[in-house]
Amino acid sequence: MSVFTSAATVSVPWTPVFPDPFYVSVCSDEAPTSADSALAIKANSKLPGSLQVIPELPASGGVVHCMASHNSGDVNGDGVVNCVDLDTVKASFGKKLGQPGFNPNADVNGDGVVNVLDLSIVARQVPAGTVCH
Amino acid sequence: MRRMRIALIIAGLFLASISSLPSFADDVPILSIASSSSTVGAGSNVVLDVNIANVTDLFAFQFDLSFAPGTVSAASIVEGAFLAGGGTTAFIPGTIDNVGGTIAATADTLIGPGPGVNGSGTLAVLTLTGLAPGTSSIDFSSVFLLDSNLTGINSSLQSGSVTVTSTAVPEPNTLVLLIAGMSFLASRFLRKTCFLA
Repeated sequence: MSVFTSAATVSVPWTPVFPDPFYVSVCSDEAPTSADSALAIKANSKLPGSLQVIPELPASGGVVHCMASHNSGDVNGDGVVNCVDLDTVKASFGKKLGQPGFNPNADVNGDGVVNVLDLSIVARQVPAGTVCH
Repeated sequence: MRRMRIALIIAGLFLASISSLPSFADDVPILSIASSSSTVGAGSNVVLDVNIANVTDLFAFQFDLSFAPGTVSAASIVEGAFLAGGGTTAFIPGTIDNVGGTIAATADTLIGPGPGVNGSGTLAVLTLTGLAPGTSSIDFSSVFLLDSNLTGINSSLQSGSVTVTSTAVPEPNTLVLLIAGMSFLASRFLRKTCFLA
């Protein structure tokens, strides 16, 4: 899972735009901390396009920080989606958040479990005809 | 009276035509277990196919299987030919637990941005070993079928079952040889008896 943050001074209503498609997210008026990563995973929901509703927004606007998990498929972040990324998902396959062997990077859609949804997101971005052992 | 008969005949024809129409359930892909034999002797293996029928644009799947651990044990699960017919794949056999009687997280996906596969075929091939007399149901759970948009495909599930007998069930060829041998011995005995008489 590629996690990034976005901060902006906004007025309500506000529509932050992340790379599409994405799965997210936690927004608040405080800068995210490392503890927020787990919170983001628990709060994940698949959203089409951009974020439309942010209940946590301060009523009068202000600086908000949002954490989003972008399903890039580049699990190891080396700039290319290939068999190594598939192998990383396979190595953590079936594991849930909190279990030994759970790799948050393999949880591409950030739903707290590594399953065929993550595997197929990566697989679709590997060039057709690629043979992975 | 005659009008009533005609009305009944028309009603009967109408009902018959309705029952012959394809139902909504006919359109839902069916995930099922099929075995070459429904019985297996203790200590012998039986091969079961995990099949899908009537699916459109299948790109990836995942399922769990459960069985009676005292009756059978899982020896292996390997990829079937159906999904691989659409291109290269990444198959995950899953985790066999012969104590708990489960095979968890068996999965497969096509590789690349292309379409999924259509029709019917075998997704995985499971080999079970008979342990002790009894019948084991083979049940699905945690099933995911995804199309090439990675959207879920609804499906109907059909469990399988395997009955384990106390001894190995003879192969058909063995049975034929056994019967032929017995017939030969019987004919020899009868000829000898007739000759002596």
